[in-house]
This record gives sequence, C-alpha cells and structure tokens, in this order.
Amino acid sequence: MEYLLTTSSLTKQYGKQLAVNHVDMHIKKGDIYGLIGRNGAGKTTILKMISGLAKPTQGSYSFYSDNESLSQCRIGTLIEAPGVYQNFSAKENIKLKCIAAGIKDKNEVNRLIELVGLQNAGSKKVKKFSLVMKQRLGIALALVGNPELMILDEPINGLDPQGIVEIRSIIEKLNKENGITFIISSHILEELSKIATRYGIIEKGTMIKELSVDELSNEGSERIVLMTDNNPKAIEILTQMNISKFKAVDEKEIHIFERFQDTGDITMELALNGVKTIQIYLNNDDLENYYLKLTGGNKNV
Amino acid sequence: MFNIIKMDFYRMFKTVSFWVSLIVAVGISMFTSFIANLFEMPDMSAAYLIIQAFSSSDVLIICTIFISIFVHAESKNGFIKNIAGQVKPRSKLILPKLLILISYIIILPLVYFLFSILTFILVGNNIIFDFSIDIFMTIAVEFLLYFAFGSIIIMLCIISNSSALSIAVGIMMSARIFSIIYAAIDFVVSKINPGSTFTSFKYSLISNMQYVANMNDDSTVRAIFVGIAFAAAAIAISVLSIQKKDIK
Repeated sequence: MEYLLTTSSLTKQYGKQLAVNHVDMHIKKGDIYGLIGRNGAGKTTILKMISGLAKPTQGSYSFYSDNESLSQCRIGTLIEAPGVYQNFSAKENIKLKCIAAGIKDKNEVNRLIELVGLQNAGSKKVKKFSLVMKQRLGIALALVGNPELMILDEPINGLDPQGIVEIRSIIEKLNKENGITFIISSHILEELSKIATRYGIIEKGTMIKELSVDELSNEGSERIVLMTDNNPKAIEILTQMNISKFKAVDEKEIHIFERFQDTGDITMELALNGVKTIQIYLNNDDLENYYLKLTGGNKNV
Repeated sequence: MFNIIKMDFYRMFKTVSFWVSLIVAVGISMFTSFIANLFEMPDMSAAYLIIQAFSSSDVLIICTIFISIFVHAESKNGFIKNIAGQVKPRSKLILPKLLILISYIIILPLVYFLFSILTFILVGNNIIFDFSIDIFMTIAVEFLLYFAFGSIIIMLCIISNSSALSIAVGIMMSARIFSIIYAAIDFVVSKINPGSTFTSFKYSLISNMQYVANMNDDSTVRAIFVGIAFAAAAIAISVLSIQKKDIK
C-alpha cells in the first residue's frame, strides 16, 4: 500500500532517556491520524522529528518513499503553541512565512486569513488575540505553501468548547475540501474520536497499536454483553437467530458484536427456549476506554 | 536561502526595536556632540567623527541590544518552528542574520555620524570633510571588528537560546570590563614566563577598535587578523550549534 508518510524505527534519545523508541507509523493520504498518548509519551518528539525540527537518534521517515528533503516543504506544522511574533499583525506574520516560502501571490495572505476565519482581525496585533484566534493563525501559517500534510500538536489544548468546535470544523473542512492529510496529537480523546480516521497509540515512547476507526470497532469496542445460566444452549439459540458475530468470553459471558438494537428480542428468544438471562447490556466502549484498556492506565491520559 | 534573507529584512524594517535603536542612537549622538561642542575647536573633522561613531561604546551597546533582540526573537516567539524544518541544511539560517548584522552596522554608525555632523552644524561649528584613503582603510578595519563583535553576539544568542547572556556579555565588552580578565591572563603568563612581553589586551576586539581609531599602522594589520579570527570562530560555532540543536 502507498502511504503518504511512513516512519521506520524512529528513535530519539536525550541522554539516557529514550523518548521515542523504534516507532513505525503509517499514514495514508487523506487520513486524519490521531496520535494518542499520555504526557511525556513522546508524541511531540515524534511530530518534531517528522517536521524536521528534531533529528532522530536512529531510524528514518519518508514521504511517498521519496527523499525526505524534497518533500519537507509540503508539510505544515503547528507544534505546541503557534510560533508567531506578538507585536506583528496576523497578516504580517503570514506575509513573513509567505516570503520565506517564496510565494509571490499577493492575495495569498488574505486567502489564508479568510480560510481560518480571521478576516476581521487580520490587521490586529497578535498579542491582543484570544487563544483560539492564535490557534487559527497557527493553522493559517501551517497552510502557507499548500501543504499535503499538516501536523498539529494539541491544537485544541486550552480552548473553550466553542473554540474546540471551531478548530474541529476548520480541520474537517481542510481535510474534505482540500484533501489535506492530518496528524493530530491530543489529550482530548473524545474530540479526537469525532474526526480521526486512524489512530496511533503511543505509550512510553513506543507505538503499541495503529488502527483505523473500523478496526477499532472490530476490536470489540461496542458489544452486547450477555450472561445466562446456560451458555452452550444460548449459543445455539443465537446461531438460530442468525447472529454470527459473537464470542464466548468464559462459561458465563458472551459478547455479541452485531444487532445492537435487538437486546429485547434476544432475551425473549432465550426465555422461550428455557435459558435464563442473568444480565444483558450494551457496552459502548469509546476510544478512551479502548486506550485505557490497551495501556492499562487510568483516566488521566 | 534568498527568501529567508528577504524575510529577515522585511522583519527588521517592521520591528519596533530597529527604529527605537536608531532614535536612541540619534539622541545620544546629538547630546554627546552638543556637549563636545562646548569644549572642542570650532572646526570639526568629519573623518574624526565617523571614526568616533565606529569606536563609540554607546553605539556598541545599542548594536548589542538590537542584534540580541532581533536574533533571539525568532526562537523566543517560536516563529523559527514555521521555517526551520524547510531549510536544509539548517545552518543556512545563519547567513541572513549575518547580512542583517552587516546592514545594521552600516546604518547605525552612519546615522550616529550624520546626526553628529548635523548637531555640530546647528551649533555653529565648521565641518571639515577631510576624508582620505587612510581614513577609509581605518573605517573598513573598524567595520570588520564591528562585524566580529556582532558575530559573537549572534553566537551567544544561538548557543544560549536567550538574549540575556549576549546582552550582558556585549555590554561588559563595550564597557571594557573584560580588561580585568586580560590583566589576569597577562599576570599568569608573566608568572610562567617572567621575561614575556605578551599582552593579551592587544588581541581583544574592543582594544583593537581603540588602536585602529588612533590610526597606528602596526595595530591595523593585527586588528585585521583579530577581526577575522573572532568572526570566523563565532560563525563556525553558530553554524555547528544551529545544525546540531533541536528546535524548541
């Protein structure tokens, strides 16, 4: 499969501390790739290496299997806080980046200002901006040069709910309308799960799992948990009901991965066949629970 | 590379500190010229004034502060994160800073000199434009020493990732506080080799600025070597540092 970006055994060591440990990432064109991990897991270090801001101690990364230096200019980055001159206006900051990127189109600054919804604040000094306005400006700066890949490190950190919605809608728009691929790291897994199409889960510098949204679903995040007094008989009945996606977890518990609306029918059918239902409920594990299960951590992601 | 140079020049002319530094230079130039007018001859040499502009510690301090603020602003505000990944090798980021330095050390002493002249004219002095080949040579060597001084300031900003160290060192150099260190070196050398006539002060940038201002032929050659050596070392360390360090 052709990937837009792949990393191979990407490693970063600071002194004796191994911040990133042989990470292999696979990002397809059009992905919104959610990079998940707790504080200090190595997310920012990975993003900095891919952005060319930090040198890997070991390993490499490549774009379309090309030479990395040829493609580096097609990456837009927003790592940690937006890198902007506080005493300059939004337009001046974008113009600086446009000059550096060799963009001569005089309308480019206004186009980017409008794209991120800063048209009413373009001439205002950045030091007077709110946090969400600065994030918007950071995204506009990352968009200079029409990047194929945007790397956003905690883009919604510290934003109020309205700000989160605004940034999310900008990302969705850029992904759908401009075909830009995103790598986004975030602590706020619920928000990430609303836009991400693939996930990479990092724990202590190691990539422990890469999976798509479909794979996450197939991993059994959503299921009917059924407990009966006679599981072998219950399995026969489920088969008769044309339910095939189920798993007997132990002698008492069966997990069913389809027909989530039919818990009533299942209970009725079991009762009609003399099987007593001890417990039945829909377990709707979200990304957070999956992450916690995988890492064995607590809720403080 | 050319685009990064253009970007840095755009930024320099948009930066408030650039204009403030020039206004401060104008103020100091006019004030010192006015005071000097009370004690000096009615005929004033333009050559003397321009050499004064290059060797003045006030101008050195202004240069130190502006260059430190300008170079450090890129990493302080994080703007470097927007461009550093796309410039390869990263050492290319040093050249635009050196070109800014060159421009600034032409503009700053020139502004200082022009307002000096203007003040002397305004208070009724007669200006003698006594430029010669020797004067231009002296200015060129002073310029080289200034460039070496600015390169050290840039180097300190890059290796310390701060403007505090470069400003402190620059001001101490300008105020000749390091002469204590030179005296200590000379003392140690004289203890090791009692017959030695070695004087480390002769190999410092600031002392050479003074020697050259006095237009001594022997000191001019030495000043050229000192200037080149300090500039080359500072640029080499800056290049290695920016190449090796990760962007924070």
